[in-house]
Amino acid sequence: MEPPDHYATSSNGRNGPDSADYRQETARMIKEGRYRDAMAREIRDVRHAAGSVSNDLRKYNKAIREMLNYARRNNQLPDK
Amino acid sequence: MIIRPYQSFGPLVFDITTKDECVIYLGKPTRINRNRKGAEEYHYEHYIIRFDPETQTMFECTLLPKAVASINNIKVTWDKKFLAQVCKQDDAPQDIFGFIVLRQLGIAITGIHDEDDSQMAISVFRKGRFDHLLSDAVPFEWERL
Repeated sequence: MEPPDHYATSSNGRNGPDSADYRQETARMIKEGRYRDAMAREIRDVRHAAGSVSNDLRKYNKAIREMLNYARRNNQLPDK
Repeated sequence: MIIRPYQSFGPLVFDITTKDECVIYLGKPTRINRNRKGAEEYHYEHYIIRFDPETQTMFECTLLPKAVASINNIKVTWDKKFLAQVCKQDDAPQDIFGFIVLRQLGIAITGIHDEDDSQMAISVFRKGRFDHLLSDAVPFEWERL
């Protein structure tokens, strides 16, 4: 990600202790096997950052697709 | 700016300083927004100041790279030497989801230990802020820095 977009993500350290809470929530989802929920939340967060900073909600669509394909290949994203 | 653990950051006093006072001390922020928990944030070139949604007073600050500051006579130099110095002084640094949390000093550092420039920041927090995350904490081996 481009740094200004990255700064705006909920997990970025620049956002203070609140981002540690966010990381804990994500870690908990993964620990519970809720990969789909964790990924969905990350995608929403990245889109929100790209939309609010770069005014382009689609900016990271290609990277998101690559991440989802990787997750599917590694069985981290089972069918519902 | 001098960080006084759990007391103040420069002229800004925890749980006392209001938004108006902040503007008097630091000037008009370049940007104002709300974080995901509803806290209003005043953004400056080298600082982010957060205000408690209930009391409307300063409860947290984040220093960004190049901010000039010191804590307990240790100058913030934004490198591993600084991190090692504050870890040694704190005596019980912990890694909590990538935050190096120094509870004696009331600061949490990201981006230095893992050389991730895009995460580089030092947050100055009020007492108890990280307590609910302690079950996920692991000791940070600062001697390896």
